Amino acid sequence: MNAPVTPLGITVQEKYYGDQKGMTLYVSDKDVDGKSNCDASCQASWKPVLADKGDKTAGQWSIVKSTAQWVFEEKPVYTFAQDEKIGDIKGNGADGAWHALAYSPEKGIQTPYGVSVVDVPNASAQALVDLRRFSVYALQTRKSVDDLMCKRGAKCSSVWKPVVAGQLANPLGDFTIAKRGDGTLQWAYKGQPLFTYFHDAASGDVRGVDVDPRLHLAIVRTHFMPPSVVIRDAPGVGPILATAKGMSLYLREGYRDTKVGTHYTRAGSRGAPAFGRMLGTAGCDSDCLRERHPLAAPSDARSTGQWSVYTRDDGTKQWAYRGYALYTYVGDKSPGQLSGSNQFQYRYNHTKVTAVDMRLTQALYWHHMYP
Amino acid sequence: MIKSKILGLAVCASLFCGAQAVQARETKSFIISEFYPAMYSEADNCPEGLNPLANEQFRKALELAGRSEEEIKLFLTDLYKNPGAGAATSAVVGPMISERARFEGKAYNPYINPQLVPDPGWKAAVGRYSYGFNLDGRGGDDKASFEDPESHERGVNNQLFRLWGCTQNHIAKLPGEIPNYPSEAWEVVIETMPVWLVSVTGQDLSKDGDVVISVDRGLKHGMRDAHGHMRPDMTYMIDPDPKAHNELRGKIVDGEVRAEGDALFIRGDPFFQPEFNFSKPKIRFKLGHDGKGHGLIGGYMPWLPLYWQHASHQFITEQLRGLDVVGFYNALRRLADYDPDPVTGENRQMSTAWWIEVVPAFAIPYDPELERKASKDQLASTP
Repeated sequence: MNAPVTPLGITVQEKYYGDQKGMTLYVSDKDVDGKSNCDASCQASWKPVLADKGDKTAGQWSIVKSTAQWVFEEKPVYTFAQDEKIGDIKGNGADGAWHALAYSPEKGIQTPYGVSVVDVPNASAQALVDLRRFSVYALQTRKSVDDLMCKRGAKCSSVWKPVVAGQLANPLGDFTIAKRGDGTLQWAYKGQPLFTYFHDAASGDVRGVDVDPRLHLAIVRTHFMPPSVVIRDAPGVGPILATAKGMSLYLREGYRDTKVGTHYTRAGSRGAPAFGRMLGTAGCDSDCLRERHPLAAPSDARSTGQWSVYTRDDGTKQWAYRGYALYTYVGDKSPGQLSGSNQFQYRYNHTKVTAVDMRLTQALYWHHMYP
Repeated sequence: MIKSKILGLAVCASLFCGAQAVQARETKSFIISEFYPAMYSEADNCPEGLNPLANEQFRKALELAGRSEEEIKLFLTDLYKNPGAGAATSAVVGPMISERARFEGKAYNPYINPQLVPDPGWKAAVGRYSYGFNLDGRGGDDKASFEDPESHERGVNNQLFRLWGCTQNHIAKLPGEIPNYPSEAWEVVIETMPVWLVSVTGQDLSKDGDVVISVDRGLKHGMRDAHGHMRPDMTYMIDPDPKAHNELRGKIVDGEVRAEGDALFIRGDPFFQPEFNFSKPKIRFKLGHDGKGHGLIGGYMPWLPLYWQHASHQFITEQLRGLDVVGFYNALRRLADYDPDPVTGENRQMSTAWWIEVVPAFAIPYDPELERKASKDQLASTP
């Protein structure tokens, strides 16, 4: 079981960690060993972020028992009173001691040259990558691995390539060095030799998952994902978010004129969270709801990681990912279908009796949601 | 006669054995490698001249907006100090054109509110000939119709040609000349837009007879050859989305494929046009000795996506494509000739004909395992 990136109620807002509402978290240089030195007057500006009753420590996150304040790697966390909206970092650098708590997958882990930790959205995790930033897989068994480790004259695997360590490399933290049958050295993480997969064609690909039961993606920490959501492949587009039953999930996006390209870009569109937040649940009105069903969240669901909980007009809760409220499409009849994608709604004003002040977008469109 | 290339029976079986009207025995597939308005421009199309280019068009728009001569001179000077996108954001130039709509004394975006700007007018083409099809069935009795220069069918409905016939960057006489802007836009989008596949199925494609035409979308963009043309004989997986599949029925007559149907829906690309939603679609094309085919796709389509193609780029369209978006908007509404709104009576669709070139290709059903092992370039399209 991998540690989570965030506990319940702590969010990730692109560059920074946030509280449950998404407001930027800060740490102070004056706080050491997990103890807060922010007194009552300080707390007028810097509000301690408190855990709810029953919240548990997780990964890099702990809780001060006496105050219930969340602590990230020995640093109590706060929000800043003058921040007004998600993404504000008005307190960054204040008094030369306060810092917005930057989100960085590499925090808290030492990696040798040639290996690093990055977000791998297609696995909803922070995971190891090689020098090319291609996904790395860990060998999780000692049995029947001769082909993978080139041992005992076995034909070496042509699809699983070792993450090679230099002949003079030294172990570092959780990274040790495994000796292969052909005499070369290979990095191992927590004792498990590391490989890349031949058919991964680009950074972020995780095509090697579920290919060989001996190997698993080398995950360091996992991102929160609602239990009702999975990542699955869709024809032509690769991994997308889907319901547990496999039905594709969609967001409503605003068209942005990129002059030379579109949302059919080669890397796909992951949207702009600020736009998703601005649209909120208003992206699908009562007419729209006949064709699109909100991805329901439990009434006690809490925003966590990159997932937010929106409240619809009727009081029901809806999951949103990276700011975008998510929906299924009634036109999809089977898992993996994408009939609800790339549907346009033009937003021109055809009358003389009103005016539309809409600098942001001329069209809304539906698009499948990338992890 | 079509020199057909017979695909494997497995492909045929997967794709077309469901077609009941034809006992499919042979299928030939293509990708659409060229697609633009079917222009057949002649010297007498525009007795009142052409629609103005950017400078003149901006001058007129600013005059209609009540700007003084000094302001107009300032605008035109600044325009060329800050060409392209820079001009749109210029503090001087930007608001004068990009916020020239007025409502209750406030400035608004004219591309989103075209009705709030005085109509600068639009010159539409007249003439005897236009590529296209007789869509309304009225034939030569329809005085507003054209005659097709190749098939010599009379009663051709093609308001799209009328719309563009007097606009400089669209004027062309196909097949020898191609329209400038539409071909440029097409060249941009095919870099990323999944291919459009056309498959012809019949009992013997070397002979005249019944055929079924499938129009599908692929899962990846087209591959070019060393000359930059679409490379023939490449293999493309078909998008399994039911919305990406269309069937038209028709015949091969004198070696020319001709088919029609009730509707044809093709997803495009928002840079170009998000979707092509034809009513009463017709298609015809004939293969040449090089294996490529040339012909037309036509039908009525909503005019709003046509507006999008140019309005979405706002100021850039007006400056670099040399057309007044507000004039264009009003022309679309005037020239629409099909599907009257039951409330207003205003037509919502326009007759169109699009020139196509098709290049031989292999169309195969979606195969997740094949896709998983595809190279990065083969996976490049993400629709």
